[in-house]
Amino acid sequence: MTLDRKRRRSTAVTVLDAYDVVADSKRRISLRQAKAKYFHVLALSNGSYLLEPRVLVPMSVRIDKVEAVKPPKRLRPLMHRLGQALDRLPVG
Amino acid sequence: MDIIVPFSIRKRELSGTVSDEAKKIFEKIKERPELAIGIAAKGLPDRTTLHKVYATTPDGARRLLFFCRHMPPRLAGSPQVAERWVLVFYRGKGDPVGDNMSHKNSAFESQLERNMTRALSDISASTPERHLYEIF
Repeated sequence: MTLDRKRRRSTAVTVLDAYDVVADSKRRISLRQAKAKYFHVLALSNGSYLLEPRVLVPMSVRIDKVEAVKPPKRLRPLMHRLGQALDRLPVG
Repeated sequence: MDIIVPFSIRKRELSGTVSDEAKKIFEKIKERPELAIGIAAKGLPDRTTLHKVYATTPDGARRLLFFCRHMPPRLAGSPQVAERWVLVFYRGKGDPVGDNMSHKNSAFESQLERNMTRALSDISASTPERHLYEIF
């Protein structure tokens, strides 16, 4: 019970502004004094929209897959020579 | 594991400099060497494989091709040879080679031979004093 009450208090929201807007010809509206740049939008069945601010996390580099490629037969001597050249490189 | 970028490949595939994006991809590959375990190709010279790497970056998908020289089984007293991956291609997904790195793509086959020849000439012409490649 105490936990519930605490949670309710910490997530409580208050209304800071209330206004009516008209969507333009492309059905766009402006958010007044929006503090976030990115939002998650929930379109509800009753015609309401709920916007939650989101923080854009820059995507990092990801390796998805590594696959073997079969080279053409005629390249095998070249691969052999390249392999030998690599073995001759100094370590470190 | 060493990732080797011959100067001629750096010039052709990376416009002359190894970008931060490419360095990050190399780091990721080195972090997970197990990625290449179990990859085998029949009929290739001993300890060599060609690996295609699918990577996703903030600027889009990348397709890399490496010529890999794997470590020989370690025998007592034998010199240590590192696992070496040589960059052959660094392409975007919309590229004619990057789109389909397989023997079915004639553009890939012809450019593969050219790039591998370039890599071989850089590595062969390198001396201990003058490297014609970068190691990551």
